[in-house]
Amino acid sequence: MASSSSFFGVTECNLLCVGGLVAGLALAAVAFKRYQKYKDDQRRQTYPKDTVVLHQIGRGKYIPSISPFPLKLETYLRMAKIPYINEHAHTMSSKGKTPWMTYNGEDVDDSQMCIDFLNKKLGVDMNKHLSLEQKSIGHAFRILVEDHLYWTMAYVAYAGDLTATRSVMPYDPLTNMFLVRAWTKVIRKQLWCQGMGRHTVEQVNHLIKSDLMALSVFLGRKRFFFGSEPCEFDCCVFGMLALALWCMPGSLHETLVNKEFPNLKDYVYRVRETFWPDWNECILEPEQGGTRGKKEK
Amino acid sequence: MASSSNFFGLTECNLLCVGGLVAGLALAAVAFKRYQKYKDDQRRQTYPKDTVVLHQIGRGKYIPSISPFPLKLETYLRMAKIPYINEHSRTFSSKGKTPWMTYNGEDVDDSQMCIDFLNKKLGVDMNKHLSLEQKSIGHAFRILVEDHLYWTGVLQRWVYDKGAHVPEASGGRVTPFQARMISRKIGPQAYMQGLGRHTQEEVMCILRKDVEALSCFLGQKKFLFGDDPCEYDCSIFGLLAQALWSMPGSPHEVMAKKEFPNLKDYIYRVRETFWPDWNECILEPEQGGTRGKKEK
Repeated sequence: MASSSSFFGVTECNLLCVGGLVAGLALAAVAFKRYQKYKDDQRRQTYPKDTVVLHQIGRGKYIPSISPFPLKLETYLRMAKIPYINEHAHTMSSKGKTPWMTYNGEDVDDSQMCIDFLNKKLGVDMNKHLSLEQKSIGHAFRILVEDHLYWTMAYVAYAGDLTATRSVMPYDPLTNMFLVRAWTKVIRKQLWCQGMGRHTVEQVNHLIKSDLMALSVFLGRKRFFFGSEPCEFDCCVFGMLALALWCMPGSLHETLVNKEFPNLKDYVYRVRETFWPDWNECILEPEQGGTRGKKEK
Repeated sequence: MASSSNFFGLTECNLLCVGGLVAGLALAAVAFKRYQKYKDDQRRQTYPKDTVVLHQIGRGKYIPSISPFPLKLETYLRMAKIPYINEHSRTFSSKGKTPWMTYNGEDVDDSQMCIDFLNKKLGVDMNKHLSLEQKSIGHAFRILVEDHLYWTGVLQRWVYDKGAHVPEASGGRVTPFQARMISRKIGPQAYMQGLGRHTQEEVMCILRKDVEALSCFLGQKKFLFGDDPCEYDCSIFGLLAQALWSMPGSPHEVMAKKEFPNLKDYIYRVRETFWPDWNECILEPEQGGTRGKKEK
């Protein structure tokens, strides 16, 4: 009887089985992706007309979003009184980021691009009462907040001890552990590439203080960033500072906003009261690990 | 006669040779590094006292530096009248960046940290005539220029252009091969930073908004905050000068030269004020530069 041929001790039969398994897994993955796309398409057909569908990660324990950009975008929608619904999921945009939105079938990503899109589409202008110079200053401060202060917050939250970050994550302990670990890896790489990650803790602390001082000095005793009326720039400043207050326990950001720059703290509460009267309904319930209904510390 | 043992066809003798070669190379690398350190230490002993030694990458064809941060820092040193010498080399700081400086034996990296260090050490304050509000606005514009507008320039130079103009702008110090290698590394960095995720069209729109904001705020003023220059002018000049002199054919150049004439006037004004010897600070024709030639 002829013996079956073998390759490093593995028989033809074994190879066929392994090949079949790999092919089967590949087919299953393709089928799953197609099914997901089918479900997505089905769900998109239920989106109401002339209503923004805001895709963001879920609510937080203490704050409607543990990320500043969804909070910025949602505050803008409320400020501009644009009808919207939330779709809470971890689905990222085509650029691999969140939040993003769908409006009458059209997807737009990046919070500022969403705002610009809606401003153009719906003829909204929350900055119309500002002078050109004020708009230019507002633009500079928006960049300071979103492209510098933001990175100092990412540094504090992810570059060192993760205990505080884990404590505000609105997930069960196992998901918390995996997600925080996955995000930490990505964000540390981002921090290095962007530049903030190359500084020491002391140097970053200095940058944090400089940024918050600049914001505090410019705000002064004004109700909103440019006076008694809120404007579009207030959405992004609020989004970032709210995180400092409610999502970064024990951080220098929290200490500075809470204690050293009380006008910033008052400002954050003011914007919250003005545009988030239902704040308590927009955070997780105690059964979900949240603090809805609990007295704020 | 017993045959010599072998491992995957290699004899003991072969293995010893390979091991010896690897050990030899490792020793040579260590010896080279120690020699470099010895030469560095020797060189550092020649640094003059109370003089900033500004480490940067070398002069450009049309501009003293094809990088905005060395130009910013050197403009500051001139504005504050702090004695300094340049050490042009490819040595990077401990953070892997350039420029950096040495002052009386102490190394400092990051252009802004160098400025803060010198302000504190030497009691310099180029912003003393500004109000607190003006300083806060200046800080915001500095961040806009260095952490946002800067990245649109990085994308233009290294991703859309793939570093094509860098060899010429550097007077040949960066070879086309090096430019291509750098370009490959920068793309992923810009993606990580965030701006690299947008389309080219979107980035151009972002660029326009930044430049418009700068132009609008500057208005008809001589410098950012009026008739007297301040520290923030250094970083704005450092970046905008790149648009005029080291990014040929780019949207940055078009905007600075044609669409926002007040910015162009501003750049020339800062250059005339703090760089009267600009022509001596660019490469000579023999080095691939344009020193002495009429500006286009």
